[in-house]
Amino acid sequence: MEFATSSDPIVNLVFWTGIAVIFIIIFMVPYVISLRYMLIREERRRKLFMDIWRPILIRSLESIPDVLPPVKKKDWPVLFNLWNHFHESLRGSAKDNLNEIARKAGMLEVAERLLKKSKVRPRFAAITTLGLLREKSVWDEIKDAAVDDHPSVSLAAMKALIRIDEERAMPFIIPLISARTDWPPARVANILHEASPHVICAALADAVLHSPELHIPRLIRYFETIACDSSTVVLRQVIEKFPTDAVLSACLHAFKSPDALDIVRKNLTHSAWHVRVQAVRALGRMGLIDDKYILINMLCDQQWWVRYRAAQALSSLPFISSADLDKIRDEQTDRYAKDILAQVIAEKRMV
Amino acid sequence: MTAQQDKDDERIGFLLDFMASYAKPVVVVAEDDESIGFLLNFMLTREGFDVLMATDGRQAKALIDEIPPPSMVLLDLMLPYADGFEVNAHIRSKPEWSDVPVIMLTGRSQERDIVRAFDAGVCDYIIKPFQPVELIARVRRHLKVKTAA
Repeated sequence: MEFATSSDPIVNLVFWTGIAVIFIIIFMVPYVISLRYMLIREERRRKLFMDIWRPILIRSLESIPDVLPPVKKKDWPVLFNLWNHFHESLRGSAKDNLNEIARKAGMLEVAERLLKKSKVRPRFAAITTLGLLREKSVWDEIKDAAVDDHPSVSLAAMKALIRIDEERAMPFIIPLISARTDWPPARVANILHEASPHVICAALADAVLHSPELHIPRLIRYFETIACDSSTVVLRQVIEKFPTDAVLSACLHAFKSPDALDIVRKNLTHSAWHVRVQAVRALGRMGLIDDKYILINMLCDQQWWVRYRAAQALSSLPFISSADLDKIRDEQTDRYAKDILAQVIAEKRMV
Repeated sequence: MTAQQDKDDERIGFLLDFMASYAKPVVVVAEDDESIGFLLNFMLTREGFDVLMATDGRQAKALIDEIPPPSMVLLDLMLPYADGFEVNAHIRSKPEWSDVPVIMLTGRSQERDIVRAFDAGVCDYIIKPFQPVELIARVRRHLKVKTAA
């Protein structure tokens, strides 16, 4: 142990570092073990609780029990998650029974309390439950949560607002979905599907025509996923109002009806290659028999992506068979057109 | 003979006894969501079916290899290890299972999934969220059609 009292500072430093590491290990091992033990206990408690409440919730789909077992404070989040899961997995009259059992179990009062918590998980669960219960009394609190910095909380709040009162929610939600770039578009689109098509279509059409140009392509994507009847008319107006490449690309991506074929054909020669890509894709979706010749010409485009999408569009036309595709490939004199069509034919045969 | 083989034989023996011991129709349910699995089991049992559960695609395929054809298969599309399409293809690869009706119950509502399922020989496609009563009515209907055929 002479080195412990050595005057050499490096030896001293190494010695005391070693001692510190040993102490850290001595404290960390029991800490890790206790964490593990707590996790196992928590899991066991959760399972016991689920074993009691899962059959109750399932039986409640038939008839509501007269007496419900008491719920301990720390079991409420488990009940919320279980109830939310069932509610979101079922449709029809089953939901009415779930609502009744939630009110009977006191979930409404607890959810109102949890809504005021700062922790994300309880807030998320409470907002979801209140939305599923269509509880109008907490409208303002949920509206506040919709502008929360945390995307999970704000998205859950947006969904809850739509569930509670979709018409009242729209004027508040539409500006939010334009501005919140941190919200994943796929999740936003899923949530928008919760609203009735006529309500969401009217609100989105208005927003697409009156929002700043920067937000238009994002809004058009949502407009597209809802598949509104008025989409072609609105998108034509948008193109007239904002004739930029980004807006044009987004609109061509969104066109689904043959009513827009004139715009699609017109933009096959656009100077921006990404617009041409969307135009050939649109032609693949809704093109007529004569459009196959236009697509064959597009196989010679200078941009690889345009050629590739043109070949895919050609192969997806319902009146073009595999034999027709082989014939078109053999007839090509352009090397690039031949190559890209051969690639798409090979890809199609692999699927 | 290894302990694992013994265990497997015991399981197969149990399943065969189980299938032979009842007069009720058997429904095989492949569902990885514990709560939905519990709900389906409860509803089908209450309706008078015997239910065999599998919680992932691999287990479902193993079950299919072990038992004689049941009255019906209720299949989730998104299963761990092997998805619903793979399990369905496994079912259809067995000649004795060829007339077993398969109902898909899934959260995937895209047109291409539905078309692919029907092309693969599925007899019905139910999208989650679903109505429990409607699901049971569809199960009854497909069993009736199968019996009539």
